[in-house]
Amino acid sequence: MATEVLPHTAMTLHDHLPMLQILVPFFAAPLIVFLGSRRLAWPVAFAASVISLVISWMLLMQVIDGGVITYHIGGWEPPLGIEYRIDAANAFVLFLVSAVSVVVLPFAKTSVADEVAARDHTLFYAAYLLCFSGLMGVAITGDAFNVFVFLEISSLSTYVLIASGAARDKRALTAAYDYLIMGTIGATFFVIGIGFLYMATGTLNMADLADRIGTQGGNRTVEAGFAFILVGVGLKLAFYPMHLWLPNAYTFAPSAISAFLAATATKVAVYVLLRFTFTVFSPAFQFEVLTLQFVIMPFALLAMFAASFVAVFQSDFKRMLAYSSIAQIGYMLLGICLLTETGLTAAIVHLFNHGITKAALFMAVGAYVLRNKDTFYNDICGMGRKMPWTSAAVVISGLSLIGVPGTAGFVSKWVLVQGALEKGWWPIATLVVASSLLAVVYVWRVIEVLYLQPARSDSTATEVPMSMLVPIWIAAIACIWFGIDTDTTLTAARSAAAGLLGTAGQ
Amino acid sequence: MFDVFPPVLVYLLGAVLLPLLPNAALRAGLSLLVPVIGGWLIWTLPEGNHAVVSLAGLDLTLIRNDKLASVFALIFSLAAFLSLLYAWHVRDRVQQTATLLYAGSAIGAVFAGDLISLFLFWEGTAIASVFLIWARGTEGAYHTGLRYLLIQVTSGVILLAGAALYWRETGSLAFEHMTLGSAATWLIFLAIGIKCGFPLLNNWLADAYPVATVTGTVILSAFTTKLAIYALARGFAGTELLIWIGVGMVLITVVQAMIENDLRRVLAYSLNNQLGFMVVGIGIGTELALNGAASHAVASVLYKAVLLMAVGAVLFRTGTAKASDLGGLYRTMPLTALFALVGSASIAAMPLFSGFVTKSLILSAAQHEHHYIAWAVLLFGSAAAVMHTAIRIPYAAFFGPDSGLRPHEAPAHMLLAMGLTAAFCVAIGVYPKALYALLPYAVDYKSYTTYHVVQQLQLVAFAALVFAVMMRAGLYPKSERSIVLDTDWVYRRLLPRVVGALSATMGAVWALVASAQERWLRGIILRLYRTHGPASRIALNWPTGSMVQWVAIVLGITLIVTFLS
Amino acid sequence: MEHDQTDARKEAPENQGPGASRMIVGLALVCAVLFLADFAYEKHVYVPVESMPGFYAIFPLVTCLALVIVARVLQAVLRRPVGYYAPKDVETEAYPEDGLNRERADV
Repeated sequence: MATEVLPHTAMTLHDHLPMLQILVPFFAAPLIVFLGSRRLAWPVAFAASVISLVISWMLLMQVIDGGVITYHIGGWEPPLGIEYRIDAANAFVLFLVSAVSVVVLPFAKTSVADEVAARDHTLFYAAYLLCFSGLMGVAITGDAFNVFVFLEISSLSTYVLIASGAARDKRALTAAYDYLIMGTIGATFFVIGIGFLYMATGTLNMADLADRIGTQGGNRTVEAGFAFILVGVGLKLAFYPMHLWLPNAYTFAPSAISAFLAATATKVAVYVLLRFTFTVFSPAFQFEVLTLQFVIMPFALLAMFAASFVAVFQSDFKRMLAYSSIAQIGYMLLGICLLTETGLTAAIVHLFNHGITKAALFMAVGAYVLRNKDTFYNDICGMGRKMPWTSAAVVISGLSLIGVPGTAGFVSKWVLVQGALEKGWWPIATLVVASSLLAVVYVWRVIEVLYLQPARSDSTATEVPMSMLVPIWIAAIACIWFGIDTDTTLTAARSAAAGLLGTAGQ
Repeated sequence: MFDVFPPVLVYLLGAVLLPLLPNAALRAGLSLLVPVIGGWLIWTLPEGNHAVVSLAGLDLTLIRNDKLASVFALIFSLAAFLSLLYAWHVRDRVQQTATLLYAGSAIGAVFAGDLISLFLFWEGTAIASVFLIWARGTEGAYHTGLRYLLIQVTSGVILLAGAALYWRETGSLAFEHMTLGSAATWLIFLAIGIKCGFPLLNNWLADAYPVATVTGTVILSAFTTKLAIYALARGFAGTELLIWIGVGMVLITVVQAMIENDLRRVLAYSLNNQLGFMVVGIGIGTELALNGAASHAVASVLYKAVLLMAVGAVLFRTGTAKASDLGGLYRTMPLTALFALVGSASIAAMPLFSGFVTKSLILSAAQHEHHYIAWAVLLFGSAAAVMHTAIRIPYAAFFGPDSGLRPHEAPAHMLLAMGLTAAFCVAIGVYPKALYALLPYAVDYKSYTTYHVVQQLQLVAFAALVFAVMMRAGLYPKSERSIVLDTDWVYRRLLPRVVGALSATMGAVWALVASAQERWLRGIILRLYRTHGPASRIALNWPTGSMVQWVAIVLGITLIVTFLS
Repeated sequence: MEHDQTDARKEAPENQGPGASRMIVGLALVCAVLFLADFAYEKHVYVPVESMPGFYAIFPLVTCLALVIVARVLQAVLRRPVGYYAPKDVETEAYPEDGLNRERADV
């Protein structure tokens, strides 16, 4: 276990940051409902996100050098009480989630007004904040059961958010229903897995779990727990072939929600997987290594290709992006399966870089929806001239999706390839490069549609307002920024990876 | 951000602003202002290293100012100003912007203190300049431009490869004097050699320069090759191999210059020929020789510019620059003819003209260091230059047998540009001290000795006599409507032919393979579409039950794997 | 090989006019004077061969004559019809007039 941790005694606001990180958005949600004002809903949500971002930045700065912050809720000592435990890995995720929220919300204001019925706006933003605080909670907590609780908070609100796309397309309802079924199964499996672990160890605190599993070694109960947790989390992160809920959910959700979920929800699930495979369990267990290499890795490779091929043949921009997300999750899982520091770094960096890339792309989708009602290639053809700024951002973030040098996407794929080569798995490295070529194809199809095809004669599309363009471009510029300034993300990711492995090694 | 303002930024700003101006005259005015401000910045630039920026962990020195760099930067500024004045009438935004970017990159490269920024500006000159060729707008110009761009960019890539190796070997990226030996230095040497027109690497020069627009050729002539001269002087001064390379450059281009019909191509060969003089000077490497190389670069930029301007004006008025189609134009273009004569006198190194006070530095250095063969070849080159350029150009265009063409005199702004350039040629010849003061090393050299003046007059007069007699006798190579082959024949004719022949023999086999492959490929794509397309099982909306079924399957597999281990 | 001989003919001796002969005579006189001038002053030579009287006259005379002959031979070898590289070459294309902006140049 990590270093000696002093029990929490201090009472300054600064020491309560971990708690505030969750409480601010969590209480802002009911506040919106109580206020009941359609005008105030958005400002409250935005203010809560900004405060969260500031807090997460402060936390990240405290732990980026490998430190650990623990916070005991209500002063109850773990393993009895609930512990929030922040190290580089989850501080990084907290920062990503709140940053994406701050960028997406200004965009959402216009986009949601267009895509969601006006009477639902208050509840929409309340659900959004619940989803947001649920995701933050999953990332911050150090208690296994608490993970489940927050996972459910975020999932339940996600179902609502996806269903709110019904104003534009009724199929959002079935998509939300499917996700509800799948998400509930996933959560159930997850809680069954935790139940097994509790049976075997008698504790729910992750650090404690790790200690006891480490000393008593594996047995059938622990192994079953691992399998159930893996499948439960796998469902949430759209692990191929359990991804089937995702395309519809992302396609029919309001665009702002697609952008937010694509950039955060699956990433938080990846984080949970990291936490359980490396902190609670450890690669020291033979069963874990085998499962990762014989179950997860083949499916991850399959996802990289199968989902990419499906993306190539799609005729809807938004749906294409959904399939591309499934393929990209394959890269992150592959990084985890390498079980080395470089591999983990790749997974974590890709989690971040893919987050900003997809945020930019899904926001651009929202812009096209605002002007063209739909994002089928037939609808958005020729938009390169009619909506030049949006389309230019699509090109930039599309390059990042491919992994062109100079963009964020390149950095993570580069580290991933390096990780594969380090282990001497050059066929895997070749496959990563080969699947990137498929990304070239599906991104090129979009660029061709936008720039090389004439606009429809009845198209009256014009450039979207600044409130949408600025967030899109912030994300697009971030794609370039983190492609050039690789130090920031790589340092944080390496520190997170070292933390995860270091903990596992003890 | 910077402790001094890098002159290249003025050019970049100008290039950004220029396309936004709606009025052609405003644009031309702005483009003239840029080299003036740039020149003033260079003049006031303090010596030493400045404007160090950190990029991805590398320290890039944007400004390394000493006398070697500043003399090249100054002549580049002057050349930019004069050629932009000559191009006053051009409305084309692309050409105007490309000119500023090209000149700016050349100046940036001269000041670059490290190999990475040198590489960036090196490629900048390549990419910006090709637009001056493409601006001609014909099919032939497009293909010539592609060949030019390919070779120029290749030079940059080789430079980058050399820089990377150099960095690994020495741990330094500073662009300082280096010694040939390692792969790194050879690569850098080769990259510079391509731009410098080393023998057999020079075919791009005569291929591409005469293809550019009227004004484009004037602009092209100033920068790329002189930048390479600067880089050689900086990195490889005193490399004895360069003496022989320079000798080769003089010899290999001299015949082509004699027999080529396109006068702008004659000047391109002649330019390459003069580069040989500078390369020999750099190879000798003494202070006198390096001063000679630098000052000859300055003089050469100016007299080449005035000659190309004059021929350009002829092309502008008559639509052709072919010796076979021209002649007797002095009747209606007297001023252009006069300025061409000044350029001719300068390249012939007549006393009181610029070539006289610069070329002699290199020849004397060759004598002092006992490089007699090189000296003899340069002397021969000087005499040959009298024939193929100094007399042939005015003869073919302005004074020779009448072609019957009666074009108007060149437009006023062209005359002004030519006049100014010609005035600089004379000024340097009459008052060399001003140029000598700018050279990298202190000059202790008297050009105007009796011996020197008489020998040079003898050289010019006898070469002229040979030209006149031979022409009179009908023995001088005739200017005919034809082209003359150069080594670019290898890749323009031989390689395509060889490839064509190979593909013809392989044709039947290949067609079979290709059609089989195509069928196979189409089959694969069709199958992929069937399995992955929107209507395939994998992309369809699945019933919820089936989704759950997959979950059960994955859980089953996972449990089995976990339990078995 | 086909060449357009009409333009070559204008450089033939009979078409160069009477001025040409007079010019050559004048040039020859200048050369003679310059050759003789070599005996009138002290030389500072670096290369032994320079001390030869009229070296700077004889050297260009010999080398330029040789060059002319070599050039004639090489011209016969290297000369090709204008359309040799066509169509991807500028030699057969007229210079595009529309890019010149002549009208603007004269205002």
